[in-house]
Amino acid sequence: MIVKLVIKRLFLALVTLLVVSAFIYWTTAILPGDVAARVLGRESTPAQRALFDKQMHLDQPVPVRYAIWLNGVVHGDFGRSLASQLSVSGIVAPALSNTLLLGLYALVLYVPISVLLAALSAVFRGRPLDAGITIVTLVGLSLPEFALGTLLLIAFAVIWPVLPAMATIEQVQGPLDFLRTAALPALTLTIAMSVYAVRMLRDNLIDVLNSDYVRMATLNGLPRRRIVLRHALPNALGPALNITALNLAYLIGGVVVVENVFAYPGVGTLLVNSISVRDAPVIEAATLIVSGVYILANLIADVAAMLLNPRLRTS
Amino acid sequence: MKAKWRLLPPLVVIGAMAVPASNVARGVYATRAGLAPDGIVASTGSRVNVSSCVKIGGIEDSGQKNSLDPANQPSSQNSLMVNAMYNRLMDLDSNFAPHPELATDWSSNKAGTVWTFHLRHGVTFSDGHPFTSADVVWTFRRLIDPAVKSEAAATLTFLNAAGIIAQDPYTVVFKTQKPVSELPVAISTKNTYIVENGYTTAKLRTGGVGTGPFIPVKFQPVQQVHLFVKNPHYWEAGLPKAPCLAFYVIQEATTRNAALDSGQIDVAQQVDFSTLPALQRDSHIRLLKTGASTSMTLPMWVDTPPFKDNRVREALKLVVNRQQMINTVLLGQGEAGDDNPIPPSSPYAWRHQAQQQDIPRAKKLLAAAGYGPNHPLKVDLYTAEMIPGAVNMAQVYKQMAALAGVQVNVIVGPASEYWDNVWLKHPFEMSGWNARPPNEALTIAYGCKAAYPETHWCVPGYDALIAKATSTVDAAARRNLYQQAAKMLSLQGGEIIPVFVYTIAAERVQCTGYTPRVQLYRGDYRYVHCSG
Repeated sequence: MIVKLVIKRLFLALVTLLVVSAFIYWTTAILPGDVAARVLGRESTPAQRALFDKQMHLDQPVPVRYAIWLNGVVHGDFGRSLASQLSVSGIVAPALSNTLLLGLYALVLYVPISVLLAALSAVFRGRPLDAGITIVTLVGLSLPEFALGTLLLIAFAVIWPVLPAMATIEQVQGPLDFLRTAALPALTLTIAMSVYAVRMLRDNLIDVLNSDYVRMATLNGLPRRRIVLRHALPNALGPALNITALNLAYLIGGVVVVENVFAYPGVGTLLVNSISVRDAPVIEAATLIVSGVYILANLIADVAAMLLNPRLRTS
Repeated sequence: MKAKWRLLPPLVVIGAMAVPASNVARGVYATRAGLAPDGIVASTGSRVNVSSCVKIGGIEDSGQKNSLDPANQPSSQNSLMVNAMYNRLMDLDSNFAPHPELATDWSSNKAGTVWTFHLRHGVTFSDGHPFTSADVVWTFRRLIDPAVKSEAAATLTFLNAAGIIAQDPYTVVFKTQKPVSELPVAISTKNTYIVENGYTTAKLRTGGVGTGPFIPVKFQPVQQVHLFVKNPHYWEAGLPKAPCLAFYVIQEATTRNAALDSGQIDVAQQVDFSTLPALQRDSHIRLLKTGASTSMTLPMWVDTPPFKDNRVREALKLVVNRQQMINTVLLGQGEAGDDNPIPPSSPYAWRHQAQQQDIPRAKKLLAAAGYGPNHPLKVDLYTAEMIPGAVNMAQVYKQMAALAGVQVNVIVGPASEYWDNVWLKHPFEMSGWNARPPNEALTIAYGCKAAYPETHWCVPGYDALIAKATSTVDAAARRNLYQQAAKMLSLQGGEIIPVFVYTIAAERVQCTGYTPRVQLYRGDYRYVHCSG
């Protein structure tokens, strides 16, 4: 029965992806600005532009172009970049793997930081430490990633220059060098994500710490640390799983701004450049993949929640 | 059982990301950039470490459009790389005077229709092939070839394929239908770098070879760093000074400054003048300024009321206090303009001072044109931040115009759409032009056949002056004609040109030898080198 539910969810996810792909294609197609003029330059002649339009099927109506494109995508061919005639998958794949790597790094930092801050905040509730952490998380919540990234840049690359300003990850000499080079963008993403998790986890943990079985454990004489780590925390983590899944999706989306600040060569930078040159195939492929990751993350969160909580298994 | 289920989703995702992680661990990224894991430049076999390269931080990323084909330059970053590996026949200095590069000397017939260039001996391309006239002929013929779709074709309309002749291996002759008195300047643009005979567009894209001071290493369009090594057989003795170059793009100004300060890059192609105060206090950085470079302008349509009346145009020029505009908008980093595209400091300027503000005279002119306190002149000014400082300039202009009773309504749009959707479409808006030689500057936006008629200026007398200048071989007489044309624009034209910006580059104090040029595409890296 669970398998049927999962398959149904998967099917819905695919339908969502299809609708999203149509929407992406349509919005890219109606972007203002003459693609031919953008690609060939302002000084191109009308004859050159007409030839370009014909070669790129830009003179066909949008639904026809969408059908051609979708046919290609289903066969794994995302087409050729308008700006450069290179294969789109050849351009998007390395950028995507760079971004996923950054995402992984941010995620690995995010888990211990959120848990630690939330635990400290909950255990020392009402004390100065809790107040301090709350203030920091609220400020972090209100700052856009651009401001956060720039602040971290100034702090750790200018005032106290321990980390590189530009994330030159194509020159790294090994894993440790990568950790240092990508530290600032990863830290920006981590802070941007963890502020939400810290708030939620803290509230959950406080509830759990007030529950009967924790009171029972305290009365039985168990040490505080053991209660928090072995009994309270695992139970508080459950709902935080959902927010982690959403944060994963946010990672890929919010990464555009962060990559631009640190000149990190990922999907974000690729999207910004492709949009400014109106390179529609690359924009469509990159956006579709990002949407796919978002939908997949939500799917995993839904399925995990269903597996954990029998009450959510409606048919 | 349940506890294990909880861990499954995050583990699945982390597992999916483990593949790129292991790639890094194996140094795959390093290899893709042309570096072996220990920093040796693999493809040329020379033991050069990236940290010994002069690292240049550019401002504009053309991403997948990057190419080693000079025929089309999608961004200034691409132009810098083309500059590093190719040469032209002549190099232009900051006053657009030609100097010998691959051509040693040149002359024309009396009419200016036949130009003969003698080429330098002993120059080789980086693949060993010797440089001869065949390469020059191939280069220029492909620039005007419609199949190549070069952006240079629009400014090389005076050439035709049959008129580009290799007289002997070291002599090229250009024959034109009509006289072109400044052909050497006209054939030295950002696209006219000499490529090897037989190299087609497809081959040049990533596999171009040049005669220039540097050689590309495993060039791919989308790379974070583009590496170039010193050309050991470069024809100028003792140059280049740097062992290698590494080109980066850092679009965010704060990051670029931080990277320069910490030594991640050695030279920043351009710095935002708004960050100047911080940079001037930085002891690790030296600022380098050019002379008058990009202009910032306010074109008005001379065929549309209220700008049709020259008294209105003159009044709108007289309200500007140009030095004050430079001080407030450009923080002092600019030169006052004189309402024509030639800066007053240029030897081609008709007068070497800019129009001064004169509010009483502006009011008188407006009154004569029918405007006054009861019937004020109201205009809409379209702008965007498509050039740094443009929006501020519009606001300052509005305040200056208000002194004469003119009400300016500033309409700000998004910068990324400006050139596509706003420019050339409104009677009063803002624009800007890169530094150009006088003939190009006076014709690109002015005249009945201008490619970009910003002011709808079409006056037969003006076109006649330009046509005469184009065919006047005597330099002094030609300058006089340009000056007359520029004077016409200053006094009657529709374009208010209050300022020319200084381009400001920066280098670390441990580096020396870099001089920025007013032509933004011309990055000259022959002399730059860094210690430590």
